[in-house]
Amino acid sequence: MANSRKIHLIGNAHLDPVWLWRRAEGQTEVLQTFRSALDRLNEYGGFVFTCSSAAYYQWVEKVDPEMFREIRNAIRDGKWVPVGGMWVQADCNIPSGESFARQLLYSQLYFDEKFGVKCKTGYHVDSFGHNAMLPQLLKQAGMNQYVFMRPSAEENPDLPLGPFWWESPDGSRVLAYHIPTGYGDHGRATLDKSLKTLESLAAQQDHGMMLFYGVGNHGGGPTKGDIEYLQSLAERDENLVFSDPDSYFDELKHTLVDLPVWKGELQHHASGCYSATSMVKAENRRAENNLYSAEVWDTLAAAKVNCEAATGALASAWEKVCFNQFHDILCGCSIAEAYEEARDFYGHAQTIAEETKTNALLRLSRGIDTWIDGVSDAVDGTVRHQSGGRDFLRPVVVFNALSHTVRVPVQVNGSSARVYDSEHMPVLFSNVRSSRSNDSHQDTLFLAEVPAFGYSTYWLGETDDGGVKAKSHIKAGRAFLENEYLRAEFDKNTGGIVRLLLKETGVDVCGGNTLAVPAVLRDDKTDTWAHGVFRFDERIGDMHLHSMELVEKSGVRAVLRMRYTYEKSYLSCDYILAEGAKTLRVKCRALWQEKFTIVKIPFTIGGKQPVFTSEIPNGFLTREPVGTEEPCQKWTDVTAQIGDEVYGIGVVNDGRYSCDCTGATLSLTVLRNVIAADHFSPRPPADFRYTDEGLAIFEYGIYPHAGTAAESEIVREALQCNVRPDVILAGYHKGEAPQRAGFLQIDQDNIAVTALKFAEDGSGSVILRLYETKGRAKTRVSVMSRLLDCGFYSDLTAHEVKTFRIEPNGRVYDVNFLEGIV
Amino acid sequence: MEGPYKLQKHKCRFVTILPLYSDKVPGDLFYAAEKKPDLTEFPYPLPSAPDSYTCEAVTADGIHWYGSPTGVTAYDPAAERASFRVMYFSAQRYLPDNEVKSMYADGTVIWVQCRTGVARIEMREITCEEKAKLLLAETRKAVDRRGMVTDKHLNEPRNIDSAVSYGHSDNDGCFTAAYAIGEMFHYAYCKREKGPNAPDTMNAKALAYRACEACLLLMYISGRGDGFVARTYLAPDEPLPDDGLFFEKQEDGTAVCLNTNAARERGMVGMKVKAGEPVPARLARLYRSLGYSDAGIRYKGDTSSDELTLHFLNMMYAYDLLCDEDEELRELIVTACRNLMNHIIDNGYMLLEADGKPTTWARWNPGYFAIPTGWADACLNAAELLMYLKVTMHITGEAGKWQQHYNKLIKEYHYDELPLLHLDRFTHMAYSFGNDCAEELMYGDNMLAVCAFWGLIGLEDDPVLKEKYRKALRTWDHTLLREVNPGYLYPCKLVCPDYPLDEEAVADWFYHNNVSRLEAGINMVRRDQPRRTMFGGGYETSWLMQPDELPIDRYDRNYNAYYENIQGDLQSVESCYVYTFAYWLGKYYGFID
Repeated sequence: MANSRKIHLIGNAHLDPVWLWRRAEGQTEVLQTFRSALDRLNEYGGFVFTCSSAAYYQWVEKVDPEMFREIRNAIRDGKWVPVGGMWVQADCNIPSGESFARQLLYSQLYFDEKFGVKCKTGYHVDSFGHNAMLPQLLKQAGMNQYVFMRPSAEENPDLPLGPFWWESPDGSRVLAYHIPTGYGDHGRATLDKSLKTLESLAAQQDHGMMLFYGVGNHGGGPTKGDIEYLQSLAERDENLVFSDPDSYFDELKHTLVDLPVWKGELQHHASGCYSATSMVKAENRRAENNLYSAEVWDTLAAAKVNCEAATGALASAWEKVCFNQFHDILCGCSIAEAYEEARDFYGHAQTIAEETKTNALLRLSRGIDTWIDGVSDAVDGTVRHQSGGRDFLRPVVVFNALSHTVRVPVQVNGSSARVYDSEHMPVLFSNVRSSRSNDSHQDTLFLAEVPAFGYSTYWLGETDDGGVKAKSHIKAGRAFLENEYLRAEFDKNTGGIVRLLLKETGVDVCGGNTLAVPAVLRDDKTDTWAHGVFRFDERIGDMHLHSMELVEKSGVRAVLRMRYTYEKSYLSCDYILAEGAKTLRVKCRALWQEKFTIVKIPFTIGGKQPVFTSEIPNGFLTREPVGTEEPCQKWTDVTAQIGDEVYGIGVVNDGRYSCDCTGATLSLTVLRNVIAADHFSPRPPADFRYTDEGLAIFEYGIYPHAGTAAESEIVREALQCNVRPDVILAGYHKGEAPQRAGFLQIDQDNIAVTALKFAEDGSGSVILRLYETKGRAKTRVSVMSRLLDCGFYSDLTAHEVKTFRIEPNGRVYDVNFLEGIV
Repeated sequence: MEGPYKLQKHKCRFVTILPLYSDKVPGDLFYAAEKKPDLTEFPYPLPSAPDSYTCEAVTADGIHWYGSPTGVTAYDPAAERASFRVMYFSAQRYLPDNEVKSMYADGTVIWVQCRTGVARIEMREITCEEKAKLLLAETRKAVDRRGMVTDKHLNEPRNIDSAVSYGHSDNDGCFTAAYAIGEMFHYAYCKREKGPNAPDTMNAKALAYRACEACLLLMYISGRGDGFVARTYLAPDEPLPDDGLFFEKQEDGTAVCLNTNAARERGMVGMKVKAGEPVPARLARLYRSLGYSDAGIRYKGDTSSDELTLHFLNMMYAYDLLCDEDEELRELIVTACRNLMNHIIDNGYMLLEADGKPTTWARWNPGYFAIPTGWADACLNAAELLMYLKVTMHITGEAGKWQQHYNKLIKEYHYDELPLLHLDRFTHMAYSFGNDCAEELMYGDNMLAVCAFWGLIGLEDDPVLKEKYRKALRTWDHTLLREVNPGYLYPCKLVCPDYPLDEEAVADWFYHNNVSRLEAGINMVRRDQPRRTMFGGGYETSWLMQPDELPIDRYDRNYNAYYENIQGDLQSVESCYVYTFAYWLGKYYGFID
């Protein structure tokens, strides 16, 4: 039986809402394009229009309700087909797994509410690369088909053209379509050329193909001329049909053809996009982290004190973050002016997150019994603990939004002479230089241990009662830092780490190499995207060590400060090793002014057979250590054989997304300073804006470990670098809540929670999303929460994401990203 | 393997359901003081809401029992295995209904008063071998029908003694073959470990022969003489179900196609079919010894590939394990195997019905693989046909024709490559229906794949082909490894040394099979078990429960299926083969001890 070899003509308009223009212009572009598409639908009987991105539809709904009604009718009639199921055509490497969940959740709910449909086809025709976990993420939103165009056949000749099975590490599959021609063909010559290509591929592969036509980027859509031309061709050739991606995939699914299978990510196109404009990337991460915490505490506080949750406001915040994940925004390749608006959107999101979280934490903390008899007597116009010479201990509540217990230093305003925990046991503390320059200039730094999804109350006193002091393992000198797990020794000339000892095994992962000396690379041969360049290896030199100083040493932590210079720029790096820490944190502050440069921090492991592993959304991926610039998320890692065992150096970060691994050298790319929105330009003279010019503050951490990256605790270390504990100065009040509590317990070390929130349907049901972090074939996890009145088990396979809907009556459903709502 | 896994004595659920006012019920049950347990700090997820439990009791073995309006939860804080720490007992299998009123501990027995009756529950220590014997005894008593074992209807709920004498299954051949293979391993194990004349060996031998012969009989009973295999057969006094094609054997050496829906649809009602080939007396005695003659026997046709795959495996193991001392049986097997293989080859790799058309599901020909219904089946069916040929070569000791066809199928039609495409084509087909693979799967195919590759890889000597077949078997991981089933895992491990085998999980499977296969449902709507909505909208459990808290399953059901309502009618009992097949296979090959 012969298969159909139809060419499906997909009328579309690629709309970049922001790129070489600002958002208002993008909105205009959307309105004009949608009007044009509706007019064409009215004029041409067989014409079908395909368009992605819920954000655009929402703009039309707000600005032109009448046109919105027309679109609704066209969708109902099957003439207009929404695709994508996401808020925008996002970058598909940088957003976290949870961000993808939100892209899918908010847009699929929107499409369902407004049009009564859910998108069937994932659609990222212009996004620059596609992470390996996308098939699973798409399926979690009810989509098992996907359209993309980049990388091209030239950029990745191994990638099948046309349809293929795309499989993610958890085994999920979608039917993917790799556009062989363009996403916006227009004009007879281009259409003819593309049709010829597609007909040839259809014959070779024995199935149908898709032709995407319509003026794009700045919108436009199918022109009258193109529609009429294609109509004329279709009249003569029954294999040409006006269609949409859903119809194409339906036909393909009923075609008996063995399609190729592709496992893993779809790369590379624009390797510079994961480091350009680091501000937007850092803001994205910060927003993801803060919204996570805000939702956790909002949910738990609402459940605990029966107050109204901020679900709607948080959804609005997420929508802004989702919008900024549009590929030309988050990839840092839009015009510099556009980032003012991007910042505003982040401001909107961060404000909601911060206010929501603070309100929730205050609500929770006020239920804790912190009352001390007699404390009221001491009020004399200043704060109670400072009054009357009575030294009432002041209560501080530390909250941990992560799904595992943390033990971390916490800094609190003002100095102290003693610190106790809720069991009145002494806690390791010290007074450290605060960031302010008035009063005592000192803050209290103490080592807090806080249960998962919980809090611990600590008591800080102004006078030393002579009690037993907690012991510390911290040692430090002018060129070394040490705690119970690690010892790091530094080179006095370069500031680099020359010895990084895992004390438990006595193994030095440096093996004679010098780590973490910031390197400067030249990057002047390509554009903002780094089109055509897939590795950054033109090293100019290292930054020069200006000074190395031990600026803090106490039982809680020690801090060694390196100051580097390079031409007109500087970088200061505070190496921080805390008691009990397995990661050596590095707080960085750079003032960068060097044009056409990249700054990388290299880490060379002293072993053989290097293995390069990086975090991707909801998982990790191992790539060949061949020096290509690769996207990463909160962590990246190189392991090697040292003696008979495997050891690794993991690098966690709070807002960087690009790295490479050349042999045994893993490099985190921290700055990329090239001309903004420079697209294959001849660069006529102008006062260019540069992507990373100015001040950048970021933090990374060096996590040496035994075993592979998957076996290590790098996911938890990375989470701790991102989701920090929150501190509330509780005040004195009576309450029923204990001074230490955990609201939700998860019993497996390879499970991480990415969301704890209320369902979007206002039912009061709670949504818990988690995923398997270590690639273990089978995990049975138990989830228990007295507060949420639930306790259940679930089985997860390697890299699996699961979402649970916990009903108010305690019954639990294992749902997908759409929360069991649609 | 590092040596057999030592299965331990373990606690097993022994339950008796009694009327409320039975004189066997201790009066103390009705006067037990109601004591609401405080389970707010309970360390594990609970099947019922923590504040819903209304009564508790502790038995002498240290188990805490908590009663609720949704069943009984047992908590054994001293249990070494996590799977025994929290156990759930629900209606119908363990309770008359789920509304628990009171409980009373009497030694190691817990008495549970429910709204409509009383349950006597005891967690009794038992070995896995004792369990196999108890299950086997139940099957022999209630399920065995002239050597065939699938399931049986009960006249009275819960009363195994009330099993009716008739009843058939479409897949009698398939399920009986699996049972027979298990009993052959049972016999071979006893013979090896205890000697040929030990009583256990002799008993096992009798059972193995009976089951094997019941399967072989299906290969001869049609009397067509062309190798056709019947699905099953009915004695003249058994009721005729309207669920397929039936042929009634006549005195004159013919058989007549009976008037059923299937026969009408196929235009075969009243069709006379050759049936004169005599049924070997050794096999026919399974019904003749009960007073039945050949005339009046009604055999079922339209046989599927399921049956044939298990028949080939049955023949292979019967040939290897039973024929050393039984030349007659060897001849019966060789002849049946040769006839069937000839039938398939001569008919273009199809099993033909009497009307000259292929049966609905027994098609292994390239033409079938090119049509929509056969395209996805091709990957399994190609492996099946190659396995049939390998088994035939093994049994007949001949290469010739069989080898030629084996080579032809590989060279001309790429039957060695097709199995590698299983996951791709299966996903393709599932997606075309809007489902995910797990929703689309015919779960019986899992067993067929295991058996096909078991025979094929085991008999293939060519290292390249062997590796290819191993790789093809691994395309079934997505479904085979969704459950823990030693009946799948052991054969896969036998032929794929790197196949994952979680021995602790398998031990739990053996420990948590019950000692009865009564079709008594359980409650799956529990607080600790989220209901999972699948891609296409179907429901599954979020975690795989142990067999004693699942519906009664065969190797053709989805162990992960989720039911809102209690399944099972208490009026049928399934064969023991699910357990005995895996157990004796494991024992024979040294997986367990």
